[in-house]
Amino acid sequence: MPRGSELWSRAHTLTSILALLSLIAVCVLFFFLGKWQWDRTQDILDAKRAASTAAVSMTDVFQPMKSEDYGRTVTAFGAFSSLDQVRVASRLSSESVAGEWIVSSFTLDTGRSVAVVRGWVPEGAVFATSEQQVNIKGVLQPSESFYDSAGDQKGKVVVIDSRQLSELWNADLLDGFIVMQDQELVIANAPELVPPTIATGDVAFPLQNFFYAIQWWIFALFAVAVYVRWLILGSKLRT
Amino acid sequence: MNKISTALLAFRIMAWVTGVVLAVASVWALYGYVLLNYGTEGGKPFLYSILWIAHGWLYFAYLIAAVNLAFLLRFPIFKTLALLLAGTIPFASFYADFVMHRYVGSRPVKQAPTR
Repeated sequence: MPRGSELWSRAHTLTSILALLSLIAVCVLFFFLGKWQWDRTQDILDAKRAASTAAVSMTDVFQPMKSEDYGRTVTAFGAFSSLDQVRVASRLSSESVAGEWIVSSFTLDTGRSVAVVRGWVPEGAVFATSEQQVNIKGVLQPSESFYDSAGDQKGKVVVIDSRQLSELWNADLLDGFIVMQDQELVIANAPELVPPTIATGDVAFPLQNFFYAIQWWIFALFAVAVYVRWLILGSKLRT
Repeated sequence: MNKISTALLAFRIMAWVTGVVLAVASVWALYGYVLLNYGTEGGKPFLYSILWIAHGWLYFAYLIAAVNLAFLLRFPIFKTLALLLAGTIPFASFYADFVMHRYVGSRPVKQAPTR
């Protein structure tokens, strides 16, 4: 290892000073490239989160549903049908009380229909509904596939599956179903709203930009290490 | 095996590993941006992103191997820079490996600089 004075004199040669200036320029450049990627990581995350939480019209949700559509908040305009309606057995209220969920066909203004969970009622309880056109807001869920072989329980449905409901109601329902969270119409004695099973999870992390940021900063440190090594080797050769 | 032979072998391994990953990622990028919808956010498959991240870390290992070899061979700065940049240009690292082997093979046998 060369002495400090040798390194100092090596560092004062014209080549070393030019190399040092280049090193500083490279480090500044790499730092800002890393920061750019870091900021981009945050921007992409913010944009994806904003897009996933914003309510989207049901008519804009592509069919068949994709996995990223599950848990999305959707709005829809149309009317409920009280004829195409089922009770789903053994379901809990928002306060975990056993009862039934009421699922109705909801005809959108486009003419297509979608299954909507209107809410919870105690087992066998009567409730009020309206067939008037209404705006609703809810959370999109994939069709349920558990208990698939359980079949009906005395006229009640066990799973909420758009294909099964399509057959039952002789309608062409859209994929998945909506768990209603709000509707503009206030109806006394209406089913009690229930929380969705699948809520929106966090969006995919932009790994590529994140690692690029880290890598640019590591490259800057590496450039410093190379410069120091070059100085040491140069001093050794001179001595 | 002397220091230069060891450094040359390390460089060869990194030049090929980094070069193959970069070539695959570049061809995939070309195909993805021209024929698929990679220009929009979220349009890229997860494996594609992983491949580019892997290239970043492999390139770091390539840099270490290349700088080590350049120091041992006492390369001037611009030749060293060209060697380092070869890991970022598709297929250039294969050529760099070929050139380095030819260079080391053609130079007179002499001892590596002492540390």
